[in-house]
Amino acid sequence: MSMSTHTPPQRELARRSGGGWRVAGVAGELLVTAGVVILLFVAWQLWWTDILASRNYDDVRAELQSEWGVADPNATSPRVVDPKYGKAFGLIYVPALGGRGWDIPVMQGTDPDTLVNGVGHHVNSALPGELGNMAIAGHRTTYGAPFAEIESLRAGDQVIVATKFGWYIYELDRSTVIDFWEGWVLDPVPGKPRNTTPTEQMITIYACHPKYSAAQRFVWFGHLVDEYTRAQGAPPAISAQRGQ
Amino acid sequence: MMYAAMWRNLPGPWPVRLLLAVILLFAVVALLFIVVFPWVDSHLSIDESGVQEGGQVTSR
Repeated sequence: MSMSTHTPPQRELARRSGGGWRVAGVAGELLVTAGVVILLFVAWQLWWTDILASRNYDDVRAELQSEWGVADPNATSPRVVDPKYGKAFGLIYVPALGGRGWDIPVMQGTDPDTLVNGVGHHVNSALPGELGNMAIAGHRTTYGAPFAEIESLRAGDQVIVATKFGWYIYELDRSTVIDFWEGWVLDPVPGKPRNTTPTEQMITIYACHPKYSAAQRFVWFGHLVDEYTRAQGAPPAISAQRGQ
Repeated sequence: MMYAAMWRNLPGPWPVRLLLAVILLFAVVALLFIVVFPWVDSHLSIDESGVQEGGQVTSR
């Protein structure tokens, strides 16, 4: 900014032509300042919130780690978790999303304050191991952007959710773009009447769409294909990554 | 003009003024990043996630 570039002729001009030039000069500086502040805000959103989120993720992962402790050797079949609102109950792995979509906390609730710590599980949707549809929201941009590349996923890609009791492997079937008010994607059987009794374990994951906008949502639907108990150990997709 | 006036009002020789100006700038940016931007973001939410659940907005 023009800290030391003040030249005497300008000052002379300002003095000669009264306050008008001074007002215009200050107004100009304020406009430039506003522009710089807006650019800083964009930088904060796209860069700083990622740093904040990765710190939050680490904290939540550590919490889960101590909560889950060592595997319960008596756990033969996966049970259902009992999540507390605003707290993490799982970790999500989407291999096709790379590092951004790997080992991300699954929080109970989808309000903005909860989504800074991970992806969010809709409280009224099914939990891993329950019949029905588990709906999970994630950021497309800012705060770690776990679902940044949701649009690049393909049918057949896997989504793995880990809880205290085991790993749940879902396979994606189809995607769609919806408006934000289209709550049907959260239904027990998406696309069927809300009171349809589910016979399958399904998953809905979604994020904002288009990227950098909140006008619509990009949605993927999938279904459970496999599950591993803690006693059985992590599925190959996860243990292979850990070994590296 | 505004900034020039600030510069003139900083005490000391120019290296001291420069240091003070940098410190001031840093303080302002820190205030924006730590206090102002999070507040603005929570009232603006550009990357609003969530869909309406049963006609009722449960999340943004």
